[in-house]
Amino acid sequence: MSRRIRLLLAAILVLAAVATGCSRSDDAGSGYRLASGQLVTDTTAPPSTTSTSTTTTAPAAPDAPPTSAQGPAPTFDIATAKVGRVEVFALRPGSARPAGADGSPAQASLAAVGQAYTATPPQHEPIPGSG
Amino acid sequence: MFAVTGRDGDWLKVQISARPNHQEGWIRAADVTVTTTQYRMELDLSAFRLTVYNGNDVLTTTNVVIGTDRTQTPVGRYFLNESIKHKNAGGAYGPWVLSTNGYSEWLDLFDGGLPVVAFHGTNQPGLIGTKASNGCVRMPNDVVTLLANTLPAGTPVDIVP
Repeated sequence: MSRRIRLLLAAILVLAAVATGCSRSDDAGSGYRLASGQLVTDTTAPPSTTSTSTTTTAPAAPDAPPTSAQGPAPTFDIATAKVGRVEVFALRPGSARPAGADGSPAQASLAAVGQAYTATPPQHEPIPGSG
Repeated sequence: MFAVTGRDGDWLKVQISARPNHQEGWIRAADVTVTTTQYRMELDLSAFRLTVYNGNDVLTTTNVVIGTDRTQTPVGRYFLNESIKHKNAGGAYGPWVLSTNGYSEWLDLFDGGLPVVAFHGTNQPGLIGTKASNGCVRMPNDVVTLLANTLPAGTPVDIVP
């Protein structure tokens, strides 16, 4: 199934933006394993923990070589959840409006889509001993 | 945690952590607190070179290990989503792992889980400057420690060919 079709099927996606549960391996590989189950479909669950926002207060390294300034420094916005779960809506194809903004119910869940993604056969030969 | 890429009224357009890479979605601005960073990371794969900027200044730069030709480090814009202190600082991952919202585009799974692309230390510094990983980016342990203590989650990461 093509990515476009999957996206169409997932016209409205709901992602629970809970903290991802990462785990590690001491194997010699350098991949990094993300524990499964980080996608949650239950959007009716009440808010849980309040996340703390991150600020940038660390100073630059004392020996950091400066570069020539070329206009204002670029800035980047970071969104941190106020509650444990944040609904994420997929873009409606051909529309700049958020899917669901017109009140249409969110039906498909990103978790289901995510399962479809992980169920997709690998496009490349598995690497023996990659773990 | 999301990297914000746009706004439309009460909605924010954000990068999300999902496969395949580079998916974006919309969230309600009221659901999140928005902060700003001037930090960003840029990884030049062809040069095996990671440069970290604080605004227009270079915070640090270092040579790194990248993915092999069969497990390539994926290119594009990602963001750091977590810094994890590793129990075994002398192990293959070094003292810190900085995970991103990016996933390997070559491996379906890694060690039984999703193959997250991460920046971490190494116990094989002699491999720095080579293609030797499964897609992660290995760097000297002192550098990853600096980054873990400096960069906020949400810091953008640009990986260029």
